[in-house]
Amino acid sequence: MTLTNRALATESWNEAEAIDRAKQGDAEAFAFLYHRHKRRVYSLCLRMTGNTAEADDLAQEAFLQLFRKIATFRGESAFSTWLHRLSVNVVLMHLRRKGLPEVSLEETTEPTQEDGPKRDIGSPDLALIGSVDRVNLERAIHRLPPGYRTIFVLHDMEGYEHNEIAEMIRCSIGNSKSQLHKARMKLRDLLQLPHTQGAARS
Amino acid sequence: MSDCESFDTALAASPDLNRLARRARAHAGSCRRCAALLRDLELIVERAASLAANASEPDPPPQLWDQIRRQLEKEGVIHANGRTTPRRAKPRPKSGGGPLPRLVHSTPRSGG
Repeated sequence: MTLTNRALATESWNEAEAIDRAKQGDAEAFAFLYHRHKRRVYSLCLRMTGNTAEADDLAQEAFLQLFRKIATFRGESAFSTWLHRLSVNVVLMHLRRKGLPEVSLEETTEPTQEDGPKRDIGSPDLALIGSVDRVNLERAIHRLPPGYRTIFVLHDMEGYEHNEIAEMIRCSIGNSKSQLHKARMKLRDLLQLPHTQGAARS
Repeated sequence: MSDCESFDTALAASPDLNRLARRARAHAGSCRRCAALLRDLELIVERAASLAANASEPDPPPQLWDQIRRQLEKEGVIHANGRTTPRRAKPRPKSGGGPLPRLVHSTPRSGG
């Protein structure tokens, strides 16, 4: 079958059919599933690591694990949910291997020297209205310490509940809540920094 | 403990802003500092959700699929010629078949 013919054949597939075919080792089915979900998985990896090189490797690893395990997919949850959870686990495993604390108890919301002089958190003249555009927020999320970023992305962006996060991160629900609060406070700090906003404008 | 400290404690204990204790929310109604803090956090949460829902999801590098496919072919998970053939379970080492080649970027990509 030529490439064009194969591409035409896969156009008519639905996901369930592709999954069944992938379970049989059909190369085109794997390609179909990869291209259907690659952006979602890659974006997740990028958000959680804040690093394109790591995101590349982790997306690769997530799809390899997916395809190795696809025969075990029984359809009890949506395929996309299954893949998403698998991808999150791949990233978390990576963070563990790197030795980075997923939940840093050392992190505080105090500005570092690099962040400039200490300010009173909550000062009403530093309201964020206007500074929380997409670019600024993305930059600030990337600048979060890894432990904070993980919790923030999982809860506030990916929609996981604290009990799910606690299970994935292997921490208590209270710790997940506490770290989420600290992550938001840190973001608030970062979004109020003049150089963060200046960088976004350039 | 001052009302502001109580407010901070309530926020940290229950970061679900919609379920913030009534007393803490009432305090924010009469305190500029805590009102600003609550407003900022609500804004961050709202914008983050919006970012997740609406952000354009970037494509991974084009060579990623080739890397994945080559590795799966090497492991016998998929077949190089695209035939549909039942896959046999094949024992693999715990490491997943040895270290995977890292992607080599042809152009520099930012680390952030």
